[in-house]
Amino acid sequence: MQPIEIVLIVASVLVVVAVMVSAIVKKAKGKSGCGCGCSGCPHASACQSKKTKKA
Amino acid sequence: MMKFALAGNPNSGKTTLFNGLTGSTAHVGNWPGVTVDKKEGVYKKCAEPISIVDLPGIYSLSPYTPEEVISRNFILDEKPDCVINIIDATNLERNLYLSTQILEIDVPMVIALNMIDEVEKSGDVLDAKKLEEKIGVPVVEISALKGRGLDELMTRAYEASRTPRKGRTVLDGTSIVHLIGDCKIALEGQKVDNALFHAVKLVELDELEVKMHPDSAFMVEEFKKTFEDDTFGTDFDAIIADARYKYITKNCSPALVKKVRSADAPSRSDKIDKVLTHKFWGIPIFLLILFALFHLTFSENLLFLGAALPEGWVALEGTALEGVFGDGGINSPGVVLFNLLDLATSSLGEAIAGAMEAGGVSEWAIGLVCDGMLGGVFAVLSFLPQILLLFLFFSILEDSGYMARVAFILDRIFRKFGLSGRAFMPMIMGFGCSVPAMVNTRTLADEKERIATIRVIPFFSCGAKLPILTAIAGGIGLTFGLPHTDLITYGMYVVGIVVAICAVLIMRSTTMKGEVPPFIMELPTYHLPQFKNLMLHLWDKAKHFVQKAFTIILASTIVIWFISHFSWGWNYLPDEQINESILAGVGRLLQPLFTPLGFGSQIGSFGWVFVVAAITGLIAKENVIATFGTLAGCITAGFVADEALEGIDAVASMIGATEIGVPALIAFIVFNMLTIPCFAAVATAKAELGKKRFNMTLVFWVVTSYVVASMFYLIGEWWWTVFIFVAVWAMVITLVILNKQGKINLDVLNPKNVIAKIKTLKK
Amino acid sequence: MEKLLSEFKIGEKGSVKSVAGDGPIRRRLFDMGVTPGAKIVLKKCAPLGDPLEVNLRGYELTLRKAEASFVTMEVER
Repeated sequence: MQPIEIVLIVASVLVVVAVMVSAIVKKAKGKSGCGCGCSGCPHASACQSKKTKKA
Repeated sequence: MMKFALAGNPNSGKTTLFNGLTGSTAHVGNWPGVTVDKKEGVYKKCAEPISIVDLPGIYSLSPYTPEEVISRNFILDEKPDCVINIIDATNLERNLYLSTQILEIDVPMVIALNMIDEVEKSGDVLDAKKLEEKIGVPVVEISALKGRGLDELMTRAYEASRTPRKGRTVLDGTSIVHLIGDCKIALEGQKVDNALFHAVKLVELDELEVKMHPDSAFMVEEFKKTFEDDTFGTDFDAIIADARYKYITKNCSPALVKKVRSADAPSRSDKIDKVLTHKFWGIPIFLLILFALFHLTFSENLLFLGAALPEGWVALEGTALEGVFGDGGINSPGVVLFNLLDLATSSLGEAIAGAMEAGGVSEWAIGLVCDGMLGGVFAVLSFLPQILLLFLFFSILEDSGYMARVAFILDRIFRKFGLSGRAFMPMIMGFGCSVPAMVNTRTLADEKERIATIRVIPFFSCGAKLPILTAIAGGIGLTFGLPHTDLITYGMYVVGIVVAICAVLIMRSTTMKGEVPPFIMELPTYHLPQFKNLMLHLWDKAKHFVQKAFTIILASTIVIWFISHFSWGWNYLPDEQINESILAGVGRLLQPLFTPLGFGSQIGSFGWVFVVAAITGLIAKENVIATFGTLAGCITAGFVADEALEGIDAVASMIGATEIGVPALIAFIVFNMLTIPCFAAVATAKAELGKKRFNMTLVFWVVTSYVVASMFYLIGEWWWTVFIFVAVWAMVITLVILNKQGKINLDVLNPKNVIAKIKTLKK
Repeated sequence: MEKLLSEFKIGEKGSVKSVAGDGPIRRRLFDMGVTPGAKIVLKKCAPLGDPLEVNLRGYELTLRKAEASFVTMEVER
């Protein structure tokens, strides 16, 4: 295989693994995985923290 | 790190102040209820860094909505080092009501008199020193918008935070001050913090308080029996509220000297409202604005000028930009930008493919890059301008204060569905992203209203669903030669709204039955949206979208490419053999499930792509089109076209190759639009609803999307089925109405009751 | 002269005499400044007749006729 092809495969695997891992990490932290960010979220903050759940 | 909390009425400028102090870009909107969770940032200009927390706006510490509970609990439980109470100086009296309550808590406090520039502009004079003397806590004039007075505010807040402050009440001198004193002593005996605050709340018979301190509540009840006030009887609520405002008007209002002006002179907001909430024109204007919004984003015949234009004028035939600006009609800005991006990404894709071929790279590698990586992401990227446009329009509407007026106008209609006009806000937010919309429902006091609203928010097609609506509508146009595909797009949005209305109606008559929630809301003054703010948020949104595309979507399409190019025996398959891949196998397995919707077993060859795309939509709705993009590249290369097709042409070609019909395509759009939203929205719904209700919601989403989509397909293919559906729906509606009128009881159908019944039978 | 806020005509002014009802709606009205003595002016009705828009304590409040009917007003001559 040409070197570029090896690079491609490695890159693909890296991307997929990185995305999956960060998704799991986010979930463990309790953050919602929206495409929006916390403070930049349009209209309102969507970050969930356990304490702020409705009493 | 020291912690300061920003508390104040909605729309008093807390978030603007927060942004000014922390340099962050937390969003600012202009209707009550934008910040519904706390936001934190850091102020760095003091001797030590200070954490600033922006709390949701509240009118009082007697919680009426979940968001008000958040603020109250934060101040009481998190014990900030100082509370900065922001007051809208143009609205002094009502804002001070909250202040008198914060005063009762044992926490250092500083009052920020915001919008002082507007007070000065109007010619009124406000004596901050006088206010400070009367109220007993530092009062600082600021203009959060202009950045004025912020440093002084923080200096005084910092000073104040270093000395503990004992709560004091403005209710001294009222008939019940002794009762409050007795309660306070009792609570202090129980080692309760903020005894004075809790004592006052107990006497008010605040629900949260009564739950927490039942014995003291009992003591209050006993006292009530021996007490009698002339004006209010034993109505402690009224006594206290009245006492607070009396204090305010006596001691604080004199600090504000209003310029002599005709009391009835209409303000600028009044003048604008004359038009926008006009008795006859109010609703038509709103509908027109909504239509204009969508028209500018999706239309292919801007202002319907198509017929008036000379032939081929806009089409730029033969040039590289052929068709970009229009073909038979002028394209709207949204469509022009889409075309440009589609052109750019397609060209880029072709160039890369060409370069790789020239470099002698193997076919599979070219496939991986052009289809697996670029094909998916580029398919979605082209929609960024339209998503941004919609977002921009809705932001302007919200920032200006118009949204509150729309809630005001629509309340009467919403009432018929068992909701209040207030529910309109989160729904409109749903057109941007379902997640913040669901969180925003915390501004709804009525729990059932809240649940019903959360459930239908996904039906208001979010930005991520926009590619599905547009691409498939476009695909329909290209494959079947139908003009005016933008009408299909509009139509789909309308379908979402209609289904939401019907769903709410049914819910409010059955499982979410309850009183119509009250509608008491402030109408904020109109503000011109700040250009800088708007642009910052647009940029932020664009950044996140591109980020999402190159991470989640890219990863998804890579995976899709791989499993569509390997057989069950782990042999590599070239494009032509895609039908034997694992992905195709899985797709074909699930296909029969979707037969009533038109994209099940009835379409042979590549029909499985629809099922597969729908499933990838669970991760992120953009994936539906991304998956199409990836697979289209492979399928058209392997089967259909002579030359490699790119972008939307490839998708259209693939759709044509599946031999699917128009009704089924519409059903496909509808299904994806209404079904379970992306993981993020699902997680948010789960957090907001609680596990039990959430599970029912999942079922609700699946059933609704399945039924409505199948309706479109069946009626579309065999028009006479409409009679069957009408009959069924008529029956359902009759049952619902009868249930509402109490003539029959549908509670027997409620799953909870069914389970309970089964349990009792088992015993 | 006494009148319910829900019966006001556009432009009519008055001050609050009493707020009836109990529970959250009443508390909400108090929180928003609708307390005895408050001066209220009815500014307009929504296009469909309901809700109402009133001006009090320097700001605009909207509420339904149903909620306004809890408020007894002393009409200003």
